Amino acid sequence: MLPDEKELVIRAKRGDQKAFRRLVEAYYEMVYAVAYGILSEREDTKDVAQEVFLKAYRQLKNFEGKSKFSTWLYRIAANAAIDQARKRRPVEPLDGVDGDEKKLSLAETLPDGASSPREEASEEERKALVKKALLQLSPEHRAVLVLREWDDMSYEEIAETLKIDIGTVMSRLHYARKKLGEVLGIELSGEDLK
Amino acid sequence: MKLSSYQAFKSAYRDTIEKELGDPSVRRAKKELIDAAFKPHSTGPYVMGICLVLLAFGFAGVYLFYPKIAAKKNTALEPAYEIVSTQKDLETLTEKITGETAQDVIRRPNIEVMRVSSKTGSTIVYQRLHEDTPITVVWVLTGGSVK
Repeated sequence: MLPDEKELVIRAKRGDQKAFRRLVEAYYEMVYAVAYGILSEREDTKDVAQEVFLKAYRQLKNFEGKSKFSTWLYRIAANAAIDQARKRRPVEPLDGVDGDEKKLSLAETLPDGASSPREEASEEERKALVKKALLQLSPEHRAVLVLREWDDMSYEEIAETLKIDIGTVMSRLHYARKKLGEVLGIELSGEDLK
Repeated sequence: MKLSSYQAFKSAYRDTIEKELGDPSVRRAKKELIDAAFKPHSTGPYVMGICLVLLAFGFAGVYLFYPKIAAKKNTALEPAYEIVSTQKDLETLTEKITGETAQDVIRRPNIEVMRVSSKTGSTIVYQRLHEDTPITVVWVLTGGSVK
């Protein structure tokens, strides 16, 4: 949270564009990360990020200040990204993901700490694998996952941001991790599912 | 020590997003959004507006007051008139009124003929001060004199 966030929000509500600029500068990456975690596509994410801030500026008069400004912004970002993801056509399943056959194992592509000449190539493979795995989840599940795994939000914060029950947060998170485990051939421990 | 695979996934996930945020095109998109949509107000339009208003006032002032100024200047340049004669001279008009002689005309109480001189030459003023149709005729003779 910005140290003078409340003052900036008040000024921005009065139409001070300079104040809103500062808010955009502070929160752009946060909004982009949430949108990208849900969409996994750069161009769509840029469009959504722009849409989020324009929408936030127009609807700022409706922001009552009961929650943090960042929470309000996360909500707009998550909803906009989910809407955009729903507009896209269904994603094809991972190659070879049928039963137990030919599951692409994340463990096989991840380095064990030692540097390797193929590090760059494996990084691209890793990135592609992460993207493909995430796209097996619904946008709503991806939203919960990105807020937890990227923003380290608590269940309560996620519930407040997405306007859902804590129980729904926990169940979506549990399902998302389990599904990722299946898709990637990862054996999840009890800790992983918390 | 090998990390658990889900932790590796989480690490890879965070790395992916970090690298995406660091991409130059993403930073450019941020800058473009801020510059285009939320640029600070510049004083240029206000200064331009004030200049246009002042210009408009200037034109209005010229339009309203110039004729008066010009008229004053013209008056200053006009030659001074010197009345040479106020005598009701019997002057021959270029057109005689049918049935009336010049003397008949001159005897009318509401007609006055004056002979004045100016730098441009002799000037004859014929003035008929009729209530309904006042007529003033001025002859300026640039050469010779009027007898």
